[in-house]
Amino acid sequence: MELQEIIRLLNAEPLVAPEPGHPSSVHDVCAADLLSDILATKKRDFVILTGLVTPQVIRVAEATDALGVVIVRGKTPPEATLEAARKSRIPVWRCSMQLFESCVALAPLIEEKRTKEGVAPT
Amino acid sequence: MRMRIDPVTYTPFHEALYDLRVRDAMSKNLIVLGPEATMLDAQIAMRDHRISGIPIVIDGDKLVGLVSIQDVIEALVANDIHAPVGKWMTEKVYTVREKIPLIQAVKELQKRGFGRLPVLNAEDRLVGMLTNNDVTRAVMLRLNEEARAAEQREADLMARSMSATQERPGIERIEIRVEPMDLDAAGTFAGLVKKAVKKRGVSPDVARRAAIAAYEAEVNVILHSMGGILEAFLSDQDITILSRDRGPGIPNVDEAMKEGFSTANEVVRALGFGAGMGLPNMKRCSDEFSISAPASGTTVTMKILFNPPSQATHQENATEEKT
Repeated sequence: MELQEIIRLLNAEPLVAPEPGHPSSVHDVCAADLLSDILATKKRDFVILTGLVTPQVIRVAEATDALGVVIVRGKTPPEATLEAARKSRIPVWRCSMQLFESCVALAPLIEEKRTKEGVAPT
Repeated sequence: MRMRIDPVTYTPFHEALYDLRVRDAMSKNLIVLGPEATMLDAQIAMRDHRISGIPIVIDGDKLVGLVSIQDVIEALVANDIHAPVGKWMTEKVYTVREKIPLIQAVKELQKRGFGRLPVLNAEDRLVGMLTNNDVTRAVMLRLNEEARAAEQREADLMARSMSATQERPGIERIEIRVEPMDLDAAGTFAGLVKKAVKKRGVSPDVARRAAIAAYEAEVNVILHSMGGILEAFLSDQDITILSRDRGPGIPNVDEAMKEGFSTANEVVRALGFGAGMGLPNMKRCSDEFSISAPASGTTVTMKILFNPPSQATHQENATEEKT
């Protein structure tokens, strides 16, 4: 899936824009309001969808090699979070949807990808 | 309490007296009366609250006088115990400001032979009372704190020298000390670990597992312990992450290793932690894992091989999410 397509479907605005050369292809999405769940995921090349806004979201994204963070529920992260994101080169977007709504919005895209790859939806 | 400040016998006790402010020592739970109360009221209040003087206030906290036991006795002798306190109270009251060093107030108490001093804030409002007992208690508490801090420094030094003995040639070592609840610092250790393993050209999977194991350990020490030391030892073949904290240990390690088991409080959960996945996730990310958690402190050791024989083990063990 294209990162830009995900951003478009979520109608998300960039808070920390991806740097030139940032991977444009995304393999999966990890939606969670608990950092522990993100840390425990086995997904690769994924984007984080979360309502959390602390700098720890960025730390977790860094540790798990996440390709970006979309903050849901229209929350504005503190400057410390954006600063950490810029430092770690983790792009951050904000969308006004609830976490569940954002998953629903992305469901067709993920299903399409899985059908293409012949992977049964989990 | 007698205290002569003599440079020869200058002790931590005196140091605390200079260091503390009046507001650190004063009693803030005040028993006060209005000028319309009787001397009998004052006597009863003193008896009930076991105090030897009562500030007389108007408008809640504007000090207009002080009634001492001496005043009550004089009223009794004059058979005037039902008179308003306004008649018998001492109107010219010595006061101290809440922000002055405690030593100054102590000198005032001694010089004037007072048992107590009303404490005023910058707006001339009564905010506390200071007695010799208050002074002693505050200084003792401070000395106790300092003794504990000294013990802690000693323990840290010991831990540090222990670590030094583990230094071996050809081993790269990373060390971070973490303080309880210092969440701003969380991720520092994991960042260093990730950078160090990446420099060795390991696979992204290995780098990620090392970073996650380091991060979970770091967050655990910050959120659940009284602080500790995180270390990583990198050889050519592997990285060993060692997390040691100062307690309080884990009463039941088997319970803590179960996914979903958590002792996290609401504050921790609001920050996005406390899903009860930390320890199991650390184990999952490691090729070797051990934990011991007596009350004196938890020690977790995790080894991650740079070239694991089969990465499938980690894939199989990973949590499957429903999206």
